[in-house]
Amino acid sequence: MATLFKAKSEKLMKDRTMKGEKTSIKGGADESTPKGPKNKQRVLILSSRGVSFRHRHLMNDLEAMLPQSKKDSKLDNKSKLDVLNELAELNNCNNVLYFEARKHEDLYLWMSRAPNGPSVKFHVQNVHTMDELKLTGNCLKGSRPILSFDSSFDESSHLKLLKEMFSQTFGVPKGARRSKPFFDHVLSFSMVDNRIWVRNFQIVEGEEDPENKGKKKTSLVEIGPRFVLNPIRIFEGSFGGPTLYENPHYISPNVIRSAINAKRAQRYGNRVDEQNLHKEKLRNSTLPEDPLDSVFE
Amino acid sequence: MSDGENAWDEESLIGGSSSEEEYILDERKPWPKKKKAQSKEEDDDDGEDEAQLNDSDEETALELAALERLQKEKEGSTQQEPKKKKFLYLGNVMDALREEMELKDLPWIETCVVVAKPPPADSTEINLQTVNVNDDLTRELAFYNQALEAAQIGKANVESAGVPFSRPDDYFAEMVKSDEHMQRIRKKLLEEQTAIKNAEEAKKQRMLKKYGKKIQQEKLKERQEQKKKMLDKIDSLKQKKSNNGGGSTSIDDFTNFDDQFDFEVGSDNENAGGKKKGGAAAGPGGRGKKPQPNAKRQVKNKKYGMGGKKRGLKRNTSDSTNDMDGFSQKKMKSGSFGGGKKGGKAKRPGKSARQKMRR
Repeated sequence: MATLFKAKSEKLMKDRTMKGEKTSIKGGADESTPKGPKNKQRVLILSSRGVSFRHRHLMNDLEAMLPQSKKDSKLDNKSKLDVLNELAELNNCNNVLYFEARKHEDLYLWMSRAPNGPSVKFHVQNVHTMDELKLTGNCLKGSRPILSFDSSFDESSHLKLLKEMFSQTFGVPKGARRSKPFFDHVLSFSMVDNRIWVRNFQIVEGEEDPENKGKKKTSLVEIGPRFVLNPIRIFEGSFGGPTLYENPHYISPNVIRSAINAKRAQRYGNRVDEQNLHKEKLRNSTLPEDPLDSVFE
Repeated sequence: MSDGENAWDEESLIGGSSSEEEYILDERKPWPKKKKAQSKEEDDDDGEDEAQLNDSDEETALELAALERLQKEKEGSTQQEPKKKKFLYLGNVMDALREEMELKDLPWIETCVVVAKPPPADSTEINLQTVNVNDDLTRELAFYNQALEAAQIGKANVESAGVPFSRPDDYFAEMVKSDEHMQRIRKKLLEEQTAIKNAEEAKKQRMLKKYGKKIQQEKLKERQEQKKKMLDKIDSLKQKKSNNGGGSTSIDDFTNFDDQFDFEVGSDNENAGGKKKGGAAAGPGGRGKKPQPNAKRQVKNKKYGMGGKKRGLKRNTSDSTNDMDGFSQKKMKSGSFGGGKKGGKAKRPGKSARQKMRR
């Protein structure tokens, strides 16, 4: 028993030293280890104050999906976001997902590579969390996802950059702490209507196909969460710096709301116009005198 | 990040420079008083939009409306040269950044990224390039297909890397959704299924009822026809008989009919004959029977009237006076009414007597 324990602890020590070697500033590849390059990522997840319950649930869902993540408490300061870089450093994180709520209804998502950037700001729309009973799938907590990208992510520079950032932030690195060594879900990113639609599916393997033996029929069941990311800008730095990309199709929800208000206001204006026109019409249109009116007088 | 930069998403889209901003504000003031045609057009557009609205498309519809409005505002101001907003796109910088952060020389198993192949240009299948965003079903199907393809490729890749793909059946670990939550999902699914089943059953039942009614009607019709046939037969037989003249020869043949249907064999006018005899003697199904109201009416008649005159029903008749049914001598003698105390109840003994009894 004792020898067994000794052997095990030795192995552990060896592993630890190997990991120490692997740790690099960029969190990327390091060729010096005998095992070859390794993907090391850690994600800091946090939100601003004033998130609604739905936003909070979305954040919790993402946290449940990412075993390499570290959740931090809500951030109070909305104007100085560079604090986040320090926070990431404190937590040994090289990726940050920051949910910024505005006006208690609009949700923005910052995805950043701390501390040097780049960073992206998204507008999050159409949020459905895992709590919804319509989404019937389930998967292991901390199992590694297969990241699926739409073909358009290979076409333009900004989408290629986004793809890289998504795959490093949402992909669970091999052998990450608390992760499970199996694959039972697919996280898909699709570019439709100039937005990025995110879906999470469970991989269900059914009975063996009678036609081709040995192959199981694969089908998918949605787990959730589902949401749409509308990219607004890409910055060179982390939470700031010069803009590299602006989305021409993006319209701020504030503009939409004000347009609705304007339209509502316009309804009254229209009505007043109509009434004035009618009055004018009445004033201008006098009946021609009828010669028959005075026949019997 | 400074305050100014934070605010860009509100303002910069309308116009980057401050001068443009002003111009738009100026344009806005007279805007509600603009021509009718334009506003009407917008209203029409709105109607269409609202028809399309469902939960996820609402925002896009509104965005479209807002875009249109912005465009119209810009088009309506030709006197000042319209400034086109320039959107930044620094492709080469982004490429360089990507190069820098990319994970190079990593085996696939470290990242697990699958990028779909672009669909062939002439493909007729649902693909993300051509899918209609507002069509929820096809859109989700496109996502599903993309993910499914990735899952299959991913599985092959994982297995070729020598890593187990799916977990063994006896591997239990914490799931993303709790058992309780999954129970709720299952319950809901079951409820949905039973609801569908019930609806289908009800539909079937309704169909059956409809069909059953038809059958019943047909049966009634058939019965009526049979009856008619029978009557015709009788008529024709009678005709034959009357044509024979005296009828003495064929009377024997019809005796059965006479018993059954009660008409006078000798008379030509058999209807009148039947009526004359009245319902009292009319056999089952006979024509001479007095027409009876329906069962419901009969019950009601019995209950509420229509059973002859009610006058004098309560008067005594000789019969009722002679009827001694309810009379009992015993009753007449007992009680406080006139009769003696002979048959009365045993009286309670006095107090002293009772106490003596106790001892």
